[in-house]
Amino acid sequence: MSASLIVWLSVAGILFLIFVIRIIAEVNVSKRGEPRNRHKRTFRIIELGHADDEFFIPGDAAGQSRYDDYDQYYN
Amino acid sequence: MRQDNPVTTTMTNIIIDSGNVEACDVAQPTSSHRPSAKEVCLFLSDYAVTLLACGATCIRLEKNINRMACAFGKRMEVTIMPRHIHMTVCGNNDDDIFTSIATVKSAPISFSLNTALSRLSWNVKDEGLSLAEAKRRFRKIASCDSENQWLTLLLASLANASFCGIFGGDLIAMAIVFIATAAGFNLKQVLAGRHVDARVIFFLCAFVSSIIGAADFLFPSGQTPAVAVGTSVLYLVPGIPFLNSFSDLLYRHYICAFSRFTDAVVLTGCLSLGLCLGMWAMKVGMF
Amino acid sequence: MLFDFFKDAILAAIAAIGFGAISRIPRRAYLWCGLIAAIGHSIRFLLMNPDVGGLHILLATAMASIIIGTLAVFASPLAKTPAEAYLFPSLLPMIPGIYAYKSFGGMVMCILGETQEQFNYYFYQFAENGLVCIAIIMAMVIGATIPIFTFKGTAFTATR
Repeated sequence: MSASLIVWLSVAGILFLIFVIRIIAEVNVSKRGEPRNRHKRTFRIIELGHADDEFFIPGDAAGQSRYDDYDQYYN
Repeated sequence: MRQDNPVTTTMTNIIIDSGNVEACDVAQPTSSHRPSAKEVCLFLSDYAVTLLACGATCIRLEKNINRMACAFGKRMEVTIMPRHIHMTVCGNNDDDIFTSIATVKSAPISFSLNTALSRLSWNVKDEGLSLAEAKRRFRKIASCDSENQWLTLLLASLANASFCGIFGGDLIAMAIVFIATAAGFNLKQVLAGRHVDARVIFFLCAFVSSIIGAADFLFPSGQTPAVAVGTSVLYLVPGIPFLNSFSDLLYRHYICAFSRFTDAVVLTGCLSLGLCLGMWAMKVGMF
Repeated sequence: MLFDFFKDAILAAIAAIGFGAISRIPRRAYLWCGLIAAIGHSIRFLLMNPDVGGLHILLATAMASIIIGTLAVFASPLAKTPAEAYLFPSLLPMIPGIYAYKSFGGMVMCILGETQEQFNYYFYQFAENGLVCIAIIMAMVIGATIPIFTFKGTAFTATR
């Protein structure tokens, strides 16, 4: 089995999983009116930060900056 | 966000020249309550930042705001910067003048919002809407902008597949591009819903789409595998920002034009890096 | 030939509607967007076809854009939508996306290349594709804007 095939299969598998999870989440939302575990804080290993997190000082209030401009841009 | 600075009388020396934008006869509003320059200015700057964020060109922004300012019986001047809008509105009275600076919001490009806001500006002029009514309608329009994400996903995938056909791909290549686009666009919608940085989104989506698009090389079945890889990422090319940028250039809004162009080039660069990495991972040479 | 022409038109219409949906064009503009893009793109196809027009892509794109712009301006009162809400989406199938990423790919390979020949070749790729891409977009926008200037009254009163 070549390296390309392994890469292809794993990427395709991950994308298929994302698709399935999204459909399941959508069905749950339409059934219950709101997503499950909405207020439960889940532990994440990797979390993407914002550009303004660079200037975060311990003690600052956590919140969204007005200047997170690339978010959702050009969807 | 806004500077509510007391405007001194020296500021009334500003030469308000709105004649270059649209024939503007400063009309007297018919309603008994005449809005002050401050109220009009705050509304117009809210309107302007929303309109600019949804992907309107600078010339449309100028026309629409000017039209509404005239309808409210005010004159106005505006400076459009890439991320801020600086606006001065003044009434007939020398003391009735107000300046505001507002930050442009970040929002996805939406031509339906653009259309609705442009229509609002005509309603204000033609029907003589009061400021309160205009504000109410504006809030309603701005909060009601939504799309059916599944329909967009389907249409975008079909579009990219037919693009593959335009570039000479056979049916198998078109089917592969359809799946590659559906997978990549689905990832894009999921990540955009989680407010991930757009540059990261473009890189990742181009990477996965090009890998899925290389299926034709991996499992040889069609005649045009190279077309499939090449067109599998085309749904990401930021076409509207490119067009807006050159449109601003024509109307001499050079700063906005340059910033929009840079934005589009950065996103194209992220896309290309993702594509290069994907092709390298699949051992497909193209360049 | 005739088959290719109609195939090009239909595929361009689907592409314009789909890419328009990404930038959220109003529902009632879908039809117009597809129609105008089909006409414009198939005209460009004819102009570039060596048997018919044989023009360079730049000139063909500019002429197709003028036609698209004219159609869009006169369709905007019918669709009650500002011209650019489906003018720009119907230009999208002509956006030179392949040139754009080939230019960046050339830049990457130019940096990674080891010999002088490689560098020259990839730098040529980078510069050529980038310049053609920018020139085509410029031609598209200028071509599509000329009708808006010419029919100024119609263009800006569409949403009335």
